Amino acid sequence: MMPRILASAVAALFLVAYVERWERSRPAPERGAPTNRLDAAPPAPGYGDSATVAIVGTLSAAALRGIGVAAPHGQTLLVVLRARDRTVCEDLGRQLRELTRTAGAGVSLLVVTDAASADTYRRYLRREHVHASVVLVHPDSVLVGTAIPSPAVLVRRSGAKVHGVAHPMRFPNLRLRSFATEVARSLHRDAATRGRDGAPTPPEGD
Amino acid sequence: MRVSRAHEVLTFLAVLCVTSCAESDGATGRGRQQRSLVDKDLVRLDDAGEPILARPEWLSTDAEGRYFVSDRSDKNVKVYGPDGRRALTVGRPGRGPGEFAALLTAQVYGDSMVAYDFEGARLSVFTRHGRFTRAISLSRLPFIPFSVRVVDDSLFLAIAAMPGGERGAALALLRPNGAVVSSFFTLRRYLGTNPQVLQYVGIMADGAHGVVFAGVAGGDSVWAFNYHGKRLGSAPVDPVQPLVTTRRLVEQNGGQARRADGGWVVDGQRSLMQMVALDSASVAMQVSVFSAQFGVDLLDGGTIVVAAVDPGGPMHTIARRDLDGGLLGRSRAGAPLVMRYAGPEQDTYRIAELRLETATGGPRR
Repeated sequence: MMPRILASAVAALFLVAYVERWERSRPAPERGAPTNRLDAAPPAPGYGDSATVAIVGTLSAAALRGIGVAAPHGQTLLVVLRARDRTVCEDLGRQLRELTRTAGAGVSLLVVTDAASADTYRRYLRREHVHASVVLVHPDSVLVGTAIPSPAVLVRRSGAKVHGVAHPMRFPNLRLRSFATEVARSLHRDAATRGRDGAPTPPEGD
Repeated sequence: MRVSRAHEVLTFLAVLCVTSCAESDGATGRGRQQRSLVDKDLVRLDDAGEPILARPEWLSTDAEGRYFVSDRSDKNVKVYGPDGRRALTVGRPGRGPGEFAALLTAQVYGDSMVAYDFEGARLSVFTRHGRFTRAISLSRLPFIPFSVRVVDDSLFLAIAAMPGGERGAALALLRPNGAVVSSFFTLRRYLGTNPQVLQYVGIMADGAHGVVFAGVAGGDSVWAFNYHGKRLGSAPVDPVQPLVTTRRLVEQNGGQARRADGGWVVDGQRSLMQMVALDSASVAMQVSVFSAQFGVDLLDGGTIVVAAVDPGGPMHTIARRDLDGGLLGRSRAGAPLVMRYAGPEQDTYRIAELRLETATGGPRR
């Protein structure tokens, strides 16, 4: 009986030693150090979470100035991006190209970002073949009285009123419900309000 | 007389054995002679009004002379005819059969095409007309592949995302049914165990004609293996301007990848960015400058280095050239294929073949 118990104890000790050695051999992150590059990523959507945030608001004076220079006439799509959005939204390039195709000619696409991220986004847009101008306004200051989540797409017909959607939650690899799908209806509705000469009619409330 | 006949038979058998061994290793090298890499423009791509090619990742050609380009951003495969005009678009974004959530590579496979979706570790097979036929799950391999290359009609090469553990192989040769033929390329001694190093390196590999070549983005060497995982040789990636390893950079920075000023130690470093196995036991590699802020667009160019394995000997560099454009694949004849932007707008592309010529302008072999 005793030898069997002793053998079991020795085997258990060996097992513990083996597991400890195995664990030590794994590359473990240092305490307090970032474990990966996506540490700053927004949370992933959980069950029952709404992954799309609807946005309605009024453009700030700074945003109006920037947009007025880049796209003085016609309907405008504003893509609001913070520095991290490029890396956490892995599907951004495809979505922006799809957005451009959905909007069609005559709708300007502007990327609104802060000055520190402007060069990165200019290069990113060129590499992703997205034809858009970059407007330097901090995303926190695009709308009056509220810091909108990002990435976001806002539709502006004229004046200061905008509406759109944001996708603040991280979707790895692919987001099937794209910006283009979500703003297509309002883009087409806006197109339907144009007069026979093609000029946009003044929207209500603007 | 009998002895002489027996000697002849033995000699014949010995020659046969050596020949077959050489064939199984595939290490029929080009020799040490230096070559020059000469461009031959093949075609300009025309998307014919379809959504343009956004992020080309890999380029291969089929027997009909069509060009297959995997588009990592659009999550589909764009097929162009021999004249460069878009002929077909295979797959689309999604998570169903024939769809891709994270398309990492696609390549001609016999008279079909395979495409690898990292999400779900799924290798999808399509007919030459772009019809989805079946999917092969690679989720039960010793590692989840980051990429898969077609080696020949009966072998795929699975490439790990991260270096394996103490005994973990980073490469596996697979049969079309997913069965592992061999696994090799352990990197623990080369890279160490510091996660600050492992996080900023990537594995590159490709195989053809009996040889698998492997290297590390963030490393300084290239290795050659036969299909059993036996090492055939190794060499510096770029002997003229040697690469500095990420491990060394991190060690010089007190074990951290991030510098005190907030920058990254790998920023601005020349790094191995692409590897394409060629014919005659040789490999073409692209070295480009890595930007921590912008990443790397292979099509912006870099240095192309071609190395070859000597039968039973070491590897050596046989050609080197700075190049505008990105190394994206090999032709059916085993020559490197390069893609370039065709204009300043960067919305159109050209494909060229690189030919290895002797100093006298003679044939490739």
